[in-house]
Amino acid sequence: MSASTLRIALVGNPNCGKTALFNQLTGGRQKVANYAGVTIERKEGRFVAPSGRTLQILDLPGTYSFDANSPDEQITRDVLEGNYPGEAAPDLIICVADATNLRLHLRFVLEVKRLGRPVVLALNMMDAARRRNIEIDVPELQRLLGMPVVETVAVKRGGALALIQRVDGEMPVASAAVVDNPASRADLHAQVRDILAATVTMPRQTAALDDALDRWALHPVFGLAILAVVMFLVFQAVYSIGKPLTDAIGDGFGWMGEHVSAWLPAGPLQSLINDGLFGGLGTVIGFLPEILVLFFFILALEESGYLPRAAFLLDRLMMSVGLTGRSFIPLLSSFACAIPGIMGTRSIQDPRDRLATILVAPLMTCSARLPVYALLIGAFIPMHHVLGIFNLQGLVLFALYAAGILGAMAVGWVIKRIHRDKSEHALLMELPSYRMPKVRDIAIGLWERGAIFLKRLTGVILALTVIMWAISTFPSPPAGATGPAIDYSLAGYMGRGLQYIFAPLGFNWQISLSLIPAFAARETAVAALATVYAVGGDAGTGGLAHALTANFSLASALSLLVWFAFAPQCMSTLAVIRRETNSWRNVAISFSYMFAVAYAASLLTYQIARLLA
Amino acid sequence: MTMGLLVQYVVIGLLVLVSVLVVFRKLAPKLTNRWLAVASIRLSRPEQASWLRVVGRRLQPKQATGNCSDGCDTCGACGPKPPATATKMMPLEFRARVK
Repeated sequence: MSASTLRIALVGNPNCGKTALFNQLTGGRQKVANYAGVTIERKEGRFVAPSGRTLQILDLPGTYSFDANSPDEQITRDVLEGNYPGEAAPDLIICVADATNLRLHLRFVLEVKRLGRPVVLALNMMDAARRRNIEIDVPELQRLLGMPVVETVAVKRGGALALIQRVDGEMPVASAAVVDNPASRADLHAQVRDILAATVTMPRQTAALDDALDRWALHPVFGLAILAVVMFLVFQAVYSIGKPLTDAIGDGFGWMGEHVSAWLPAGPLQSLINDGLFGGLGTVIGFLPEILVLFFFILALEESGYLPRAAFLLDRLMMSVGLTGRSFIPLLSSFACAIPGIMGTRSIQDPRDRLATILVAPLMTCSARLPVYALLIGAFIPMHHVLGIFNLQGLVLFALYAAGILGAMAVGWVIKRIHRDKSEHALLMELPSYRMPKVRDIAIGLWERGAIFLKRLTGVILALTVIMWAISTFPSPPAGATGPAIDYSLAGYMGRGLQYIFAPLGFNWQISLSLIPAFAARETAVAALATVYAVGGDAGTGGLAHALTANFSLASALSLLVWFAFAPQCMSTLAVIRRETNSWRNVAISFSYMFAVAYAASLLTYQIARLLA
Repeated sequence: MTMGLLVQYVVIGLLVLVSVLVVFRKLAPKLTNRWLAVASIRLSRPEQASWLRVVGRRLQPKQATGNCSDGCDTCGACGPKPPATATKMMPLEFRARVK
C-alpha cells in the first residue's frame, strides 16, 4: 500500500446509510435496502480524492454499541479496535448517523470517539430531516462532540461531496482514548440527552406518515391480512406479467435454433447446438422475465421499509415454531438464493435461533427453482381464472411458495421440540421510516439479478448442458439396436439406474437423471430435460412443455413440483452451511432431513393424485 | 470417417473437457484451484515454450475477493469466516427513565 493511501472505516448504527455512502464514494454497487442487517461482512473499496490521494474505504456491518452480540457486530468492533486478523486499525473513522434519529445514533458516535482515533461524523439523511422540520445546529454539535460534522444525503447523486472534501483535507484531531468498561459507558445516555437538548429541535419524535401507515400495517389482524394480500399479488404478477414474455423468448430461441441448424452440416455438432444449446439453454433463459418480475417486487418491498414491519408482525408466529422475527429477513433473502440468506443469519444473536434459521432457510423457494415451477405449471396447470380475477397458475405458484414456508415452520417447530434450550427470545428491531422506492436502485438491482442469472446460464448451466448432451448422445447404439438411440447412451443407463429409487414418486428415467445436474444448479433440471427429450427426438415442435405433457402424467408433475419444494439444496448451499456452522454434522442433518421430507411429500402427492385421477 | 466429422468430434471433445473443468471448479473450487496452481507453476517455468508460459499464466487461479451477500453466484470467493466461538449472551436491563 502506498504511503499516501488513507484507510477509512464507515461505521454506524444499522440502516443509517453506510453502504449507500460507500457506493457513492467508491462507485460500488453493494446491496442496499431499507432495513437493518443488510451488510454482514466488511467490504472494501477505493477511490481517488480530488487531491489525487487514494482513499481505501471499509464498509462495516452496523452495530448499536461495542457490546457485540452477533458475529457481524463483532467484525465491526474488531476492525475498529485493530484486532481483526491481518488488518491494521483504520486511519480515520467516518461515523454515519441518521439525522432523523440522533437520539439513538449519537450514543455509538460517543463510543467511537472514545477509541481515541480521528473521527468525522456524517449526518446522513439530511433531506429527510429537513422534510420533517428537524433543525440541527451543526456548528454547536461539532463543538460539543469535538469532531468535524458534515451533512450528507447518501442516496442522492453528489450527496457526499462535503464529506469527500472533508476527508480529503486536514486530518481531524483525535480525542484522548478512554479505557472501555461498562462503568465508563454508564453516562453516555446522559451525554446524548445533553447534546440533543443543546443542538436538535424536533417537532415530532416519529414521522406522521409512518405513524398513520403503521396503524394499519402493524395491526395484529389487518396487518397480517395486508401482508398476505401483498405476497399473494406478487405471485399472481409473476405469472400475469412474466408468462407472455417467457413465451416470446422461448419462441425466439426456437426460431433461431431452426435457422442455425439449417445452416450447419448434419452431424453431432449440429445436434449439440440445436438440442443442447438452443433446446436446453434456450428453455432456461426464457424464464428470465418471471425471475425479474419477482425480484422487482422484492426490491420494491426492501426499499420501502415494509419488510421489518412484516418481521414484527410474524414474530409471535415465528416464535411459536422455534424461530424469531429476526429470522424473517434472512429467510426472505433466501427467496433470491439460500446462500445470502444463510449468511444473513449472522445478525441473529442467539446460536440456537441462528442454527434453526440456517437449517430451514433452504426450504424457502430460491429463484433457481422458479424455472422448474414455471415449466411444470405452464405445462400441466390450465390457464383458468378462479373467481374471475385470480389465475390458477398463479395460485399454484403461490401454494408452492407457501408449502416451502409451512415446511420451514414445521421443521422449526421440530427443532424447538428436540433442542434442550426451549427459551424464547424477544425481538428488538428498529423500524425504519417508509421510503418511496427509487427507480434507479430497483433498476440496478434488477440488472444485477439478471446479470447473475445470465452468468450462471453461460457458466455452470451451459457446461452441465454440454455434459448432459454428451452423455445422452454417447456411446452410439450398437449395430442392430432397435430401441431409441438414447436408451443405449450413458444417460439412458444412469437414468434407468436412478429410476429404481424414484419410480415410487412417479418419476421416469429422464426426470430421475435431471435431478443430478440440479444438485449443481437447480435451473439445470430444465435444461437437462430439454436436452434429453430433444436428443431422444421426443420434444417435437411443441418444445419441452409439449414433450412433458406427452410423456408425463399430472400426478408425476405434481410429485416433481413437491420434490423441488423440499428437495436437498444445491452443493453451494451445503458448502455455505458447513462454512457458517463450522460443522459437517449440520450439513449431513440438512441434507438428510430435506431428502427425507422431499421423498415422503412427493410419494404422498403422487400416490394421492394417482388415486384421485 | 470424413475430415469434417473428425473436426466436429475434436470440437465436441474440447467443449466437453472445458465443461467438465467448469463443473468441477464449481463443485470443488479449492481442489481445482490447487491443481490449476500446480499446473500453472509447471507451465510457467523459463525452460517451457513461450506459448506454454502464456497458458500457464492464464491458468493461475484468481485470488478470492468477493463475498456471498449479494447473490449466489459470487460464492466461489467468500469473505472471512465468521468467528467460530459463540458470543456470550448479554442480558437486557430495563431502567426507569430519569426525568
